[in-house]
Amino acid sequence: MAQVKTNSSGYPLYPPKPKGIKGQQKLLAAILTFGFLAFLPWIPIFGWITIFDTGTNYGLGNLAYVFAYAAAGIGFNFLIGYSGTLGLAHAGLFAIGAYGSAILSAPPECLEQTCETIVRPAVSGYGWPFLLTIPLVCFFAAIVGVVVGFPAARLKGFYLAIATLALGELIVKLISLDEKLWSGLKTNGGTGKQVQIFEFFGSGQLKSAYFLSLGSLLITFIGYVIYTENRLGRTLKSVRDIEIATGPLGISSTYYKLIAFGLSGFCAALAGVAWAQNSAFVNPSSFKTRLLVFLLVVLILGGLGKLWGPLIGAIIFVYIRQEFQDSQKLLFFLIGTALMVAILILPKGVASLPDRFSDSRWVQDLRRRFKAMKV
Amino acid sequence: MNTETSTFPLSLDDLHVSFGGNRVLEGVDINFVPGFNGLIGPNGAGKTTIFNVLSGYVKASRGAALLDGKDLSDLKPTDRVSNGISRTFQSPKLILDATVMENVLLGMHHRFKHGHVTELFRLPNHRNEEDRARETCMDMLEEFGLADDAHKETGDLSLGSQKIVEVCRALVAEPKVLLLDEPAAGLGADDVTVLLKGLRKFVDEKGLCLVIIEHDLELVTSICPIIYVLHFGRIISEGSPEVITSDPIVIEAYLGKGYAAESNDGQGGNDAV
Amino acid sequence: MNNLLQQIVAGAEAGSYYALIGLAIVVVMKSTDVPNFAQAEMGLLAAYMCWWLADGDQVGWPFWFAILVGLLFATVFGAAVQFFLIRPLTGLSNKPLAILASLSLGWVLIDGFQDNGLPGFIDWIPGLGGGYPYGVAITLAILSVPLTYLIMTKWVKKMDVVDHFPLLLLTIGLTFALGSLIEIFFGNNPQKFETPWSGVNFDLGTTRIGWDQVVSIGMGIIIAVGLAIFFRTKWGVRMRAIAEDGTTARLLGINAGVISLIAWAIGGLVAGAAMTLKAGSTVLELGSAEGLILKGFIAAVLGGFVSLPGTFLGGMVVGIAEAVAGGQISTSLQPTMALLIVVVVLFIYPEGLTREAKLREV
Repeated sequence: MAQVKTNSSGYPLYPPKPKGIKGQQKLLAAILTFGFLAFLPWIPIFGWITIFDTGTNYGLGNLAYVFAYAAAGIGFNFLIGYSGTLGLAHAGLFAIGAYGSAILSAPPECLEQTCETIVRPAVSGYGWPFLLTIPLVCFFAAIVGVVVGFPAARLKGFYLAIATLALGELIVKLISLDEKLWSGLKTNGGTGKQVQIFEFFGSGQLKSAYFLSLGSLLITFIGYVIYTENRLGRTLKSVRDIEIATGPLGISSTYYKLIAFGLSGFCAALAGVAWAQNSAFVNPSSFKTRLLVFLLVVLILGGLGKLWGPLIGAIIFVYIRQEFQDSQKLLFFLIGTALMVAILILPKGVASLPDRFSDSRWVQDLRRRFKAMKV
Repeated sequence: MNTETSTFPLSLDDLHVSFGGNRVLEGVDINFVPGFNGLIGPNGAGKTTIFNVLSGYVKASRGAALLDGKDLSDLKPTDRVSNGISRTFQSPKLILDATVMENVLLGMHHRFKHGHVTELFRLPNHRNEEDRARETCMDMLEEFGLADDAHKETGDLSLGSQKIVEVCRALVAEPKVLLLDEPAAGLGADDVTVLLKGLRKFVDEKGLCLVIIEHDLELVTSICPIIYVLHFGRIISEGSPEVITSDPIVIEAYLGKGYAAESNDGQGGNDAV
Repeated sequence: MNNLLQQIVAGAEAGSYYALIGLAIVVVMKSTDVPNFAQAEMGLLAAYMCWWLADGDQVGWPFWFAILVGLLFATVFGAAVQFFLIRPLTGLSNKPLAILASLSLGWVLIDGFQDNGLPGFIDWIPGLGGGYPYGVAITLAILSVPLTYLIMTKWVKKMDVVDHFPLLLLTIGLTFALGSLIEIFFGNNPQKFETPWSGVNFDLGTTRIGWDQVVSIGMGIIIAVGLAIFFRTKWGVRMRAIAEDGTTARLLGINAGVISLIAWAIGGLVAGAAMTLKAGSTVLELGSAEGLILKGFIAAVLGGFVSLPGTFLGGMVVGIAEAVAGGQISTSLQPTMALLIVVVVLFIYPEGLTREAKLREV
């Protein structure tokens, strides 16, 4: 059992936690959830919800999408929800991850017999080892994120939102320019590329994509938890809530906003890599403003600033998307309405329902009566 | 006070500040000494502006502010705290949904040597630093009677306690100069006693130079051996409490002509410091 | 087409659309403090209305009458969006929204219970999705109306005044919802909007200029001037007062609620005019608004979000720069030009082009 750290007079340095299991609630919840998700491919359940039916490839694939969106959502949440910085270039950073790893890991020569010159640009790349491309692409996206965030110093909230929105679109437009601009880029312009799928230990393409997505979610999740519970977290909160007082404290709000941008870029790219492996095909139109709206829906519906928000939001979102994939028009209408509804009614998302419930007068009343009874 | 190249912990040298055509501070010359320095004056006299110049929010149009002899305008606002100047605000700037401990820890920010990468990987050197920092903060909170509230949400505390939390945050930065903007406003008598006791300890043990903006004349005259009176951006009087409360210029400007007629002597009273 | 004049004219035409959208955005923003990302989409809806009313294969009304009604629709719709969707977020009552939402939900449910295909997830809520006697189903659906209303007005807390970000998100959601509504009602085929001056060109030396371009540019200027005049009228002055200093204005008796409605009505009208002009000159299609809204914001930024002439100029600058860069340098540069402009401007000059004009305009 870890010893409680105190100062010389015996006051605890950290908020006291109940002994034993109860004190580890959060950790336990996380372990159980991720453990459960890790074993899902071998547990055929959810048959009653076809969309997430783990017995089928369809279900597993959708779950992989959920994880990828949730991972991107965590990065987004960190930027917008936690540090309060309105950076809307996330779709572009996601695209860097997806395209980046696709291009870098695609084989330089088309290996199939039936390849013709028309097909080749769609599959050719630099042939680097896939696992190597992941950190490369993520760090590159982090840097781009910082560059995107550069106006952060001068622009107040809403202007920053527009500027980063434009920058995010610019990134995607640049990707679609390809040969005309820089033939080394190999993005194949607007037609898109096939993604060379990486298989882990021969476990099959689907399971590989699934675990890659789950892994990216795990990594971003851990990073989020570590940072928000420690110094970086409270420094970002100070930038968000008391920016004017940060200077005299020696905290450079610009520096920290840029850190938030960089970290969110890293997460977005990581999610993008996983997403690309799941989709097997990347195309600029997948990353347009539409994607940003999807990510916003994931974030807002799930709960801005809440740890489990992105995962909840991603589940809801993928569900709705798959449920309505036959009627695209209705789908987008629903997405738009969902976003509006979320803002109007549940500004803190589904994840805040438990809090709202416990804060509501009715429950407070019950609590008081319960306490009175005990006495 | 040695009279060689005596550098005061903080001095204002012919400080002028104007916003557009509005002259807010004119020719302010003050040499603050270690101990309690009072800064009083009617609203709008420019007191908080002085603090804002010192924090770096506002630029002087003429003249300079010197921290231990060093011109502050050479320092970026975010570098000032590591050079030994700290402040509080009229209404406390605290993260309300964070704990008291976390808010005070913000004051330690500039003293952390290990960066955020070590934080991510939870390396021992960072964790040790965090522990040491928390010890320091907890000791400080103990000093001001808030140790039991350390892990409570700051928003749950009374305004008076919040202001003391802000003072703790400013003090853990180990400043040589501490600027307090109306620290007693909204505090009950008990809180004021605790606050003053703690501050006195730092003045006595570390030679802390305090500059206190206050409206409570009784309080200022009872704790500050030297007081500066600001009016329309100029210093109109300075000196001990007796001096400034019997200064006719001050009486007229600040206390009103009628006060001179009503008051008997004995203002300021004992040097309680 | 390496003709510079041709490119400038084309750029001025595009620029007038950007400028008008930008003007609508600025009017709404300054009066009600809402960044309306859906402005162009709202205009597009109005453009579709105009087309639908005017086109011979659809309703087939006389051209000018159809335009009038369509723009009237744009005006009313603009005010309606403010009334139902934006108001709840400005600390005012959310009753209108509650009414709208409960009625909509009731309508959907009643429709659904008549076996018009409710979404699949209803199936696994035990008991729903068919099999209910018609009377019970309809009663339940009708009861949902007052129930939703009560829930929304009692349980859902009245929102505090929110800042720009939730409002921006709200309008982003609205953009999406509107876009799909347009597709549902009008289909996704691009349409040709016939105007009395369609296809008529004239030559200026080697340059061929279409009358539709002239109309667009001309109307752009007329509307901009019209706005400037409006803001000197009684209501215009009141709107500027609210924009300058809302609290004092309110204390002086200016009705902020009415002002907001008027502002959004104007915004809707101007955006509707812009999109209708564009439809008449180029083509009426679903994606038109998407490209335009960001450029409208750029124009607004260039005007510092405060100056009408600045915004107008800003839009023109973007349009002409785009066209000239595209024509003279490289066509692939065109789509990125506007984005590059906004990036450059915001990096170097966050306040916009016409800071000094702040004193006069809305």
